Amino acid sequence: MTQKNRIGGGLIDQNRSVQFDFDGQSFEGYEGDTLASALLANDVKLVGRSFKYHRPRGIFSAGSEEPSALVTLREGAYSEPNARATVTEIYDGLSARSQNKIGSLNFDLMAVNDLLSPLLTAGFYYKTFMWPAVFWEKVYEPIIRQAAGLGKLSGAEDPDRYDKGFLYCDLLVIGTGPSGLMAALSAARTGLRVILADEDFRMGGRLNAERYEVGEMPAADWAAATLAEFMSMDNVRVMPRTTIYGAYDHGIYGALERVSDHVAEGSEDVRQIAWRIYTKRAILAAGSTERSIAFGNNDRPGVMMAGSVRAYVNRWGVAPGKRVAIFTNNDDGWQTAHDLQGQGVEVSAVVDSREQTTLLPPKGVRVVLGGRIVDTKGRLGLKKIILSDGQDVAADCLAVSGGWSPNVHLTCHQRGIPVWDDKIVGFVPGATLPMGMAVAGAAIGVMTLKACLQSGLDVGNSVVEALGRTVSKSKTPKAQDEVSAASAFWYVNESKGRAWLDLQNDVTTNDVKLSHQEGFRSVEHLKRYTTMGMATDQGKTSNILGLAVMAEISGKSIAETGTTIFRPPYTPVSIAALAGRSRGKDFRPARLTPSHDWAAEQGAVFVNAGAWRRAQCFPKEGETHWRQSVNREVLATRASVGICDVSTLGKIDIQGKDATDFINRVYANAFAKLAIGKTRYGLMLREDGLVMDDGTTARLSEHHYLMTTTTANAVSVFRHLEFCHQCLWPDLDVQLISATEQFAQIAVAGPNSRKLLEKIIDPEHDISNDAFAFMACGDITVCSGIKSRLFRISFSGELAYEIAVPTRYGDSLMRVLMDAGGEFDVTPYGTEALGVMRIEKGHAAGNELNGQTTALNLGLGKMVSRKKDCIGNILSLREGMVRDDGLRLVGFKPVDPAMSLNAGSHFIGVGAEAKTSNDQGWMSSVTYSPSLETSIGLGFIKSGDQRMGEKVRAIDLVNNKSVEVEITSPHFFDPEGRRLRV
Amino acid sequence: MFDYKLSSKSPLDGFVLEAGGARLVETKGFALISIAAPHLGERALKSALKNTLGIDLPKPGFSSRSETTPDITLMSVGRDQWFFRFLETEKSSVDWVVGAVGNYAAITDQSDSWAQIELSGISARMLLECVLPVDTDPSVFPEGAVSRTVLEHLGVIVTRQPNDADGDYCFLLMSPRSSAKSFLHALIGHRRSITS
Repeated sequence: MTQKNRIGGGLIDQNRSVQFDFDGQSFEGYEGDTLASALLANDVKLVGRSFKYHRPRGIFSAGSEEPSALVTLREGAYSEPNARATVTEIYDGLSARSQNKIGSLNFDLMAVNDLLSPLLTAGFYYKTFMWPAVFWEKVYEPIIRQAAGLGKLSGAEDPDRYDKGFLYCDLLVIGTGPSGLMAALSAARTGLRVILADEDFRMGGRLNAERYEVGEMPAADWAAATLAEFMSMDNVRVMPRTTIYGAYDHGIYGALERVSDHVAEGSEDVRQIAWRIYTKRAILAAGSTERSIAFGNNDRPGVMMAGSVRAYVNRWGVAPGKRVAIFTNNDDGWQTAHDLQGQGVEVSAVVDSREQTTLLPPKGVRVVLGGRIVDTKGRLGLKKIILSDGQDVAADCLAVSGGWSPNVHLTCHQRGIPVWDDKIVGFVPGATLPMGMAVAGAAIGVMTLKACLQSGLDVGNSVVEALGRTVSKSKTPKAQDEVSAASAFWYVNESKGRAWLDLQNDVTTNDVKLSHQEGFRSVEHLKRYTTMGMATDQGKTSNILGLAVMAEISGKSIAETGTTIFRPPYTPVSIAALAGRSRGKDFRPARLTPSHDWAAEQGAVFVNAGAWRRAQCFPKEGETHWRQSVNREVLATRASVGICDVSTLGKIDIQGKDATDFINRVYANAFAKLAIGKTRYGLMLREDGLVMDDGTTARLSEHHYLMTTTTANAVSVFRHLEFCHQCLWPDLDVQLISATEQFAQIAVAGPNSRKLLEKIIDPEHDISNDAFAFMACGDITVCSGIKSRLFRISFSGELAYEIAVPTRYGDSLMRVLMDAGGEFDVTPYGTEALGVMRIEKGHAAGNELNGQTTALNLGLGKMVSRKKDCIGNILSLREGMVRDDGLRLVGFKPVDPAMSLNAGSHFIGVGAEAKTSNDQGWMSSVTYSPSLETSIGLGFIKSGDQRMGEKVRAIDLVNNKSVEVEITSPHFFDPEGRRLRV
Repeated sequence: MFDYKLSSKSPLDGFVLEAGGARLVETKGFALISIAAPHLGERALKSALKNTLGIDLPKPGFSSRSETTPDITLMSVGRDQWFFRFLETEKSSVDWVVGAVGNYAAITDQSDSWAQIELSGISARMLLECVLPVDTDPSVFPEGAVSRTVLEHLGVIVTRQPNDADGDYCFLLMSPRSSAKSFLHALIGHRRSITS
């Protein structure tokens, strides 16, 4: 099909043909076309069906405010629903299709909804689907969801890549129309760092859509020349295709740059980038948006905004119709008539709602002053308009101008309330603007060209001064102010057909009247009851109309009626863009232990422990179940020696003259008398008396300690200590620094652990039981002089050590220990075996330190020293926390040794009903103990310490399992602790 | 007597990548030693540093170089806390610092805690803007400037180094060792990376 509506001229490159498809049919456009301009050039007017009534809809505007021309772009996983044809750049191979229809676009079966429209008014859902209540989720909602909604997602994973980033500037200029360009010029020429952003791919705003002259050249040429100057300046960053979508705290703006939406899918580049722009100042020069007038059947394809019709003619060289009528309530509508006629397009009538005007019509054009359009005709596209006097006028396009609304959106993002301006008949920004923001040009109600240029210069200069620079000598280029008188005329009361306000959500003047009638009169209620302005276009072309109708019905002024305010984003931003590259394994970073590579070589199975990847077990050939590997690792460790990378435990280096005092205050148990060269178990409480964390702390010298924390709480404990240091006790002489990353720490456990270590520790260090007893610590050297630390501590219950070397040697230490331990059949063990051994010993871990348990619950009540003040001491004495019949940590064994246990089971008395009122506690940790050859568990049960030998049931209702268990000591294995002191 | 030896491994195995106008190199062999001023001890520490090493105690957000030994830098990294950075020698780095200012500061070896990456070249700033929430414009981040922040959920200390041999920007990026591979991936895995 040829481009029958292409009239030549414009800012497109007619030497560069572009082929694209719409609903399976091939079309040609030119480089510089949007999908909308190219479709209009090809005389395609019907492009979609409306949201609710499935009415035929066409292209309404020429920008991001578009409510109607929503299409699905691209195919398969690349498809994107609800894209606005008016801002979609065409490229070779672009595939677009209409949406929200059953059958063809011309004969949409869902158009039956339009016949049912008397039933489907505002509030329809609320009134209709009340009964029976259970039907809502199962019946009504699925049907409504199927019927409503516009485009459909592909359901496939998005194959595109997205990114994010951070930009900084002195001044962000939002919008590149005359005021934006002038503001940016005034700032850029003083050397300020300027970012200039515009949502359009061709910057220049309305300068590209009008036939004005600026600086004695066509306005678009002046814009291009000015942008060329910016491109040559190192201090200016020019960002086309970039929407500033939100104004956030402290001068931070969200920006979406569409990097490769205009090239074929599968591009090497990312699709979009979500920038966070940090600004000292911002100038909002976002221009204004033309609004419509409501009259009967004003939604037919071919009814368009007058300024947009002008843009199609002037910028894209396209006539939106062969015979165009104008309906306006202001001077600007007349400009469209002149521009159309100037390009040889027939203008069939200018209908002005005002009774008089001094404007002269284009030659030969019929003028109707005080005119009203009451109806339109043409099922799939406009054919004629009907005036209130009954006359009809032939037109296949109607250009409507209801005046221009300043784009105040970003001024509202921090609760700024726009105020009504009778002079321009629109809302302008209120006095409260986001910090650092100024507004220029049409966005603040300056509606003519010369004045916009001056406004941009003035506001730009004021920013320059505010930032301490000397104002440049820039002057505005020569330009004229056009006529711009506006009037308040919102809808044609005489219309009998439905008069549409919000074209995207199918809201009519009748819906607003119904909302008023039913008591939803506040603008906020109106919005929610009718859904006006709640679609993806956020009512850019319709909100004011709806307010005006409500105001008129209420007998109030628009100023009294007020407006809803705007929230981010200005235009839709995909979740994918906000996520950036944080997808899949890139969602969170991974921390690897020093022995990770070695463990991987051994075929270790890894488990996530927070951000850490830890070796869970080391399966050997022939082992078919992880339990076999774990049992072997446990038994080998208890029989001879095992090694395990425990570098993930938090390590905090604490120094200072008051370090002892500090540690004594943060731990609940006594630390004041810990000897140098000794390590002690420490229990840390929160301020509320509940247990925060536990670990060991070693005294390395008089004023130097090393505290260890659990892996999970490494960061939170460090943060807690910093808080205590900086806020609670700033006068204490304490210095803190994390040493978690500094040391590779390997646990060496089992009866042969000492013998193994003696092979690598330099001989001058005596680690015999006499010289280096249980809980000793000290500096040593290994492998001929490598400085290390040794701690004689045990989580496994065996004779055990933890040896710490600088992390660079961690991988090597593991290999050396395996080599040296060959004669002892040394066995590496993972977190699973570590967990088995700690349960066998009755040590609490994360399952028990869950933020809800007290020292008393854990059987550690006596550790909380009453002889000193420490964090949590006072509140741990609250009545409910010290009751005798409270929960106690004890052990559990199945009465039938062959039975396994489930963590999370609740304890119920034998014979009692399994219900909440009979709940006595829960099982926190379970394992199969290869040492005892039965399952064992740790758990909390009321008065547990006084109920040894009693039997209860462990009931797991989730897995429908009940096991009779006996209450035992939590110390299943070597309860006297003989093995670790040898 | 056994003769076991430990071999040293750097966090990124000596990673080097040069492409797209940027050069990314893991710098190895640099000691990082934390010094922290005791309570009310900053003034004494300051004069000890000046007298023994000829180095100024940098203000927050900056680093300084020794006047007498230019290869020694001292960067501000936190409240009352600074990191020495210098090439390691046979002698213990910690002992050397203890010898210099041991009476005036708490000293902790951090040499094995951080992966150290130097990023330089004409594209260096462009690469950083997609990951680093720091304004690296020379007017606000001059040579010697230091910022401690977060990059892709990972802690990072970034320092503006002297320009490279071609006169292009050079940044030192330090991030915790255990997540060094994720850190590197964050640097080279994004849109403006030097590998794309």
